[in-house]
Amino acid sequence: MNAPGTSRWLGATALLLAGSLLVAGCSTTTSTGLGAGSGSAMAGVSQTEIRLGMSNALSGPVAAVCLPASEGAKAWLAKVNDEGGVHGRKVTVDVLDDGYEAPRAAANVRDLTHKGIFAMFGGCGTVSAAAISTALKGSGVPYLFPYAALPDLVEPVQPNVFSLLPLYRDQIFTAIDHLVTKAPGTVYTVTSQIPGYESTVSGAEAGVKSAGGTLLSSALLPATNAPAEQEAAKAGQHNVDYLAMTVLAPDAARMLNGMAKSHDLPAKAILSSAPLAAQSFAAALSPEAAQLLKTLSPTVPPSDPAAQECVDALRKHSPDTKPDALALFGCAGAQVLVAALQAAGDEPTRSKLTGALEEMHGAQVSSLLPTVSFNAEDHVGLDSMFLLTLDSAQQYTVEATVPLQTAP
Amino acid sequence: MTSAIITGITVGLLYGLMGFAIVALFKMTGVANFAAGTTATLGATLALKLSDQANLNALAASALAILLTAGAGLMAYLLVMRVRDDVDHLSLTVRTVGLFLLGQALLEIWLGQGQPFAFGSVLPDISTTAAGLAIPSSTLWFPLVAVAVIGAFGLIFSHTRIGLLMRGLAADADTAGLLGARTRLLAAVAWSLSSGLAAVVGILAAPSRLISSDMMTSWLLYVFAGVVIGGMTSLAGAVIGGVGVGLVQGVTYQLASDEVALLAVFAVFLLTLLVRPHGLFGAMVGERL
Repeated sequence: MNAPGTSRWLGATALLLAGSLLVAGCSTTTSTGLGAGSGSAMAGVSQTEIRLGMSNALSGPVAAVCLPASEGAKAWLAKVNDEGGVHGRKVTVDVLDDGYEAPRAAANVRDLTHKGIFAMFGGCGTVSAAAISTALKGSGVPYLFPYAALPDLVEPVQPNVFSLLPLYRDQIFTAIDHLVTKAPGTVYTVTSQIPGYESTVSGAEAGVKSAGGTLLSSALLPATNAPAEQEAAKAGQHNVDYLAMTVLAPDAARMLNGMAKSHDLPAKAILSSAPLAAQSFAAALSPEAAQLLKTLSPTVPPSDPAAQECVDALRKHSPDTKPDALALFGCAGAQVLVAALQAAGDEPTRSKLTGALEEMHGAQVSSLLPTVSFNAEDHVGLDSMFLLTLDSAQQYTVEATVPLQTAP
Repeated sequence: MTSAIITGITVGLLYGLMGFAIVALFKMTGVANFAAGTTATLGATLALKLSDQANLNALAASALAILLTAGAGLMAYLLVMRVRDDVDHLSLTVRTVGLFLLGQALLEIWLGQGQPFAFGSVLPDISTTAAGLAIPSSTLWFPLVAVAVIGAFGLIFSHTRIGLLMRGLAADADTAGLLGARTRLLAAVAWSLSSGLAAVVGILAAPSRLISSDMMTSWLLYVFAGVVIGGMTSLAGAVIGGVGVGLVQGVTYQLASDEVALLAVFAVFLLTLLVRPHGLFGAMVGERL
């Protein structure tokens, strides 16, 4: 029979053990679950590797558009790794296919965070970006630089979400205000109904007002199966001075080519946000429409000398990928990421990474981009964009760098 | 409004030609081919690839693409439709949905990065201006092509042995078979002809639609609406129905919106079926009890 003191000691030991097991159990659960981010700041970081996750549309209807975004990012990271990595660590990206479907994107986030990634990076498309952002909410896992201009990502600011691409609302406002102010005229706006399109329409309308133009009509095109020929006929009847477009590139090409055939193109210019800065779009565009196009772009075009390093990386590490706008955007995102990882020091944590990003003010961290600025109140990195035109060979050239304005 | 009417007729003629290909096959085999749009896209894609990679001129590339697509139609029949074909027509029609989905996925992979691709018109530019209005070349060419296609099919059906056999097959497949007509051979020919015609539509549509794996997807609904309005058994009805759908869509889009255009087309569709259950030009089929 044990003495009463011994029993109390054994009881206390048992309680302590049980408590320890409970804590260990909880820790195990959180370190493999979605909540790992906040609890384990070093997830995805080893002595030799920084492991990132990416969900991108590698199959399905937008794969041809989105695939180059991940290829561009991977090519640049491969170049960085060949040169020794970041603070001696290789930066690797685990890319999963979401087929541009929200449920698959969310499932990919769960898979990747269970595997233990440092951050979600890149990807393409508003539908996937919205799902990824929602799935990561509260996890503390950073979500960096998707090709998506979705208001919900950055308004209000989420501590872990950083975007490079300005909102389409601000892009089209800026394009109209910058160009229509110089020679006011009538404006017809066309917007694809992608998530967040309502703010894009209001941005375009505000831009016309701000520039002293006359708004003739604001048309909407379905995001899929758009009746581009019919919209060409409808827009053409207005004999407009300016056409302001935030339209998916294939539909825009069909519409503008239809207007060119009927000699109904706008008298002064076609103004656009970033979707029309793709070389594949330019190649499909009629010469008459091409000479009127003025589009904003987050990156310099592939033919610009500033893009050479990235183009070379693509040729070496992803030779099948054409160095088009999305590939360069992926490459540029990787350049900004590498700069932030370097600034985060040789023992990177998620908070050091997001802190390093918020310390970027007017930083020229990528030759492809204008300067990059983040702060605690603003997680959209670009304060300006390139204004591109098409030359006689239908290659993009930079006409100007335009400061971004925020639509009222 | 005039430009909306011109656009409506131009697009509607292509709906009509596509409908013609569907009805021709339906009359001869009893199968409504949901893969017709994919076949048209295949034709345009082949023309693009032959032009770009084999350095053929657009006309030669298109002619070869039409023949190759006809061959692909034959293969689709032999590999998918001919196998276990002793089932009802509905089962065979469902197989064409499978063909549509498979074809879309394969074209997505084949066309890959950089979609959509431009492909110039194979027909000479005859665009003109009338009363201050620009008339695109396609608006002038498509009616001529439609008349030529209908005329060619009319000649095949009325002046060739295989055409007469096909008409027999269309009228009563069982009796035609009992009388010695080789129904499977005729079905194979029908699939080839229909696929070749779908390729013609794809190539004609390519300059305005641009070539991508989904270039015909949005048209399929309107094409089938035109076919049903015209009458599933009437070749001329398919063309007239297609033009009608194109006109209704174009004019209502101009006056209102895409949603209203879709509503208007399917209101006409429903009204037609209520008044004439077999479509405007479709034949009523009677059965002796």
